Parts: sequence; C-alpha cells; structure tokens
Amino acid sequence: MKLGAAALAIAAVLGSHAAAAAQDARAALVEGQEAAAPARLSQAGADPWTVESSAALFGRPSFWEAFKLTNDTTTENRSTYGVTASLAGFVGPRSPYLDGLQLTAAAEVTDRVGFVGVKWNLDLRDVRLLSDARVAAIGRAIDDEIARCRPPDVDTPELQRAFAACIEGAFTRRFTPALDWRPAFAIGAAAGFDADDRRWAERTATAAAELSGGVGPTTLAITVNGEVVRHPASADGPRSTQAGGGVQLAETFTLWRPWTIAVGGKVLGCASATCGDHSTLALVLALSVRVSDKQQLGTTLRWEGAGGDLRAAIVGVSFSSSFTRGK
Amino acid sequence: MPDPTDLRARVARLHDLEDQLARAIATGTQAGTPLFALSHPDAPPLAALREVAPIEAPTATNPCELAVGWIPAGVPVTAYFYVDGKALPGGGTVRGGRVFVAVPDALLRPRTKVLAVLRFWQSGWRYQLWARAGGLEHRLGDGTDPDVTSGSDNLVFKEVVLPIEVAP
Repeated sequence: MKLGAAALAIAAVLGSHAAAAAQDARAALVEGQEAAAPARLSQAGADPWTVESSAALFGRPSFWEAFKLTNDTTTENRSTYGVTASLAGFVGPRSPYLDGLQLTAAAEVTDRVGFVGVKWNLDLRDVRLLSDARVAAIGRAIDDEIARCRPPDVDTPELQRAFAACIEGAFTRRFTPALDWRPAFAIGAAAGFDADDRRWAERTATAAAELSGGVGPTTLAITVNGEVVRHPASADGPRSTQAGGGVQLAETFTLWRPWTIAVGGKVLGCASATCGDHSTLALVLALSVRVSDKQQLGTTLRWEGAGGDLRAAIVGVSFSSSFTRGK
Repeated sequence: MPDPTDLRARVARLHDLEDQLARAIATGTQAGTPLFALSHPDAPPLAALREVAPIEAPTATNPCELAVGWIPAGVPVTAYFYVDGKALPGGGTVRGGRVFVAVPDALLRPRTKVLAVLRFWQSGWRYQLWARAGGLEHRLGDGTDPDVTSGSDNLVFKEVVLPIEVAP
C-alpha cells in the first residue's frame, strides 16, 4: 500500500476564516485554525473510516476538536467521496464564541479526469454559544430586578451587603447558562496539481480555488479564496464575505523513520472589509510520526504576523492524534 | 458605503487596541492608553462586527470619564457606578471587555467617592478601573478572580476617589 508523506494541518472554519483539510498527498499549509494532521489512508480498498482528535493551544483563538470522523472512499478512477462529522470547541479572547461548541458535517467530492482533479465541498456547522442576543435579554431582566434594589452607599457597608445580596438574587433568578445554537455554512471548490506524482493534488478549502504543484517534497500553492459565511456570533446580522489570495510554500523532510517534519510559509492578502485580523504572513513547523499503520501523532508550531506587522507574533501550538481502522 | 480600505485599517486598529488592552490587563501593566483609545466613538467602526459600543460616549463637556477593562473580553459584565447613593447613567450589562461611563458635571467635586459594582458572569476574570479627568488618565484600581473554580466570588465592590482637584 502506498502511503503518502506526512500530511499537514487540518483547519476548521471559524466565522469568516477559510477552512482546509490535508489529504495524504504532499505537505501543504492551511489557513485558519491549524493542527498537525495525520495522513489519511484513502487508497482504494482501504477501510475508509478515520477518527481524529486535536487541540490548538495558545492560538488565537485556541480550539480543541474532540473527534473528527471521516469516511473516504476512493474509486477505481481515483475519484474520492467523503463525509466528515466533528465536534470542536473554541476558547480565547478573540474567539467569536465564548466557550462555544461547534458541530460540523461536511461532504466533499473529488472528481478526476486524467490528471485533473476538482473538489467540491459543503460544510454545515451548528454552533452552540452564549449569543449576544441572549446576553442582552438576560442583562435587561437583571437590570430590571437591580433597579428595585436599594442602592448601595460608599460609606454604609450594611447597604453594600444588602445590595450584593439583591444582585446575587437577581442573577440566581434570571441567569441561565443555556447556550444558543446558530447555524453556519460554507461552500467551496478547489483544484490542485501535484507535479511530482503527475496528478492533480487534493486540497480541500472552503470557497477556494487553488492551483498547487509540487516538485519532490516541495509544494507550491497559489490560492484564491472566496467565502460566504453566516457568522454565528451575529446570526441576526448580515453574512460575512471575503475574498483574498496568496502563495503558500511547504517542504517535507523525512527524519529518522517514521518521523517526518514539514516546514512552510505563506503570504496571504485579503480584499474584504471583514477580513479583520487575517494574517498576511505565517510560518508553520509540523512534526509528525506514524506510530503504527493505524495511528499517527503530530504537533504544529505556528507564527503569524498580523496585518503585515511582523512584530505582532502570534504563536500557536497544536497537537493531534488520529486512528484509522483497518489497513 | 464606507471605503473598504479605510474600514480595513480601522478594524485592524480596533483589534490591535483590543490586543493591547488584553495584554495589559493580563500582565497587570497600565491599560489606560488602549482602554481610552477604545472609548472613541469611531473605535468600533461597525457595530455589527463586535456589537460593542461605549455605553455613553464622552463629550467635550464631560470632564470626567470612568472606564473598566477586563479579560476575557467575551465575558459579559453587569456594571454599575454609584455616587452619593445614586446610580450613574449608563450602567448595565456589557460584553466586549470594556465599559465607559461619563460622570455628570453636577457630581464632580474634589474627593468625590464612587462605588463601582461589577458582576462578572463567568469566572477567571481580571480587570482594571480607570478614570480620565483633565486630560489625564488615572488608574483607580484592579482585581483578579480569587478562585476561578468558584462562582460565588464574581461580584466586585470597588470604592474609589475621583481624581478631581477643583470643581468644574
């Protein structure tokens, strides 16, 4: 069975960020929330089920992915059909979700005609979070109750204690930790070419068109992104759209088997007002090891220069583990 | 239709200020500069992006402004400020890591005492309380959640004296 070189980085779509997933081709860089991802066994005849889990620490935001269940089936003409379901959470001051959870269901199809591969994907996500609307509603109810409390006074501790009890009573009655579900979606298309294998490489991206090529362990990708996402944190508001593009370069080295390391960088630009703090320069170092035919572990270090300011370094660290049933 | 280029720059500036504010509060250093920079009416360029706006924007006739910055910014906070037993206009529940309240001129006099009441909705918070008066920024206090595993210590009462030397 042919096993590709260590693949790299699975990203999750966060609001207006693009999403990508690594295949078992050459190493590639991805945007958004990154984690070292294992190579997926998508060979014809292989058991197609794969379970992965990963976590990104010290990122912006940090995230954990409890599980990601993937089913890929490769046909004789190397077309691939796959579905994915995952559960992930996000924390961090820049996260659009406050201790939120995200359920994702995705379907992707790669059609091959000779050396040409075109991939289409559809991501459906449901995000559970403490929405701003719920915060506002609870806040108004609490304010109404607090308005009936006797105001405290700086010089009167007894009034302060009574007011404290009144506030806590209002919270007990009005605050519920229930989270709201907000749907989100993203659609995409991507295409790529692997010059080394003389095949179109696979690259899953959300609303992205990409041309990629590789010579040996080096992969070069030119990406044009477009995305329409309903931002879950402001579900009552407009959809966010963005367009951008960039160049990504990655190279994979095989250390002492079964350890491999990938190094890469990318320069991206964003042409939409909602790009916000999209980084324009990123360097990623990924290290992975195939523990067995069924399990691979990986870690990724990421540095970003936000908005072109190379001094604004943001270091993200992520870890992943995957297990593939069968061989 | 706002100029996209200008909008991108303002959004980037907004996020940069928010990062500076969060880092300053996390490290205990002076957060006054990024905090009051975020109180400018233009600081949040689009309400739809972050749904955060100053409760009461400062005006030229407001010689004193109170501000609280906290982390994590996503934690909602119910904030009230009291002078002489009366709540200052603009109190309520806010999300976004900062809140601003102007002190009415009628209440400004030397040694005015203010009672800040902050109720954090979740644990793990840190905050800084500031006042801007006479063009100068004054750090009035700060605090940290004493026990992140406890939900019964998220109510803060902070007594401060406004940095007013002469009645306006």
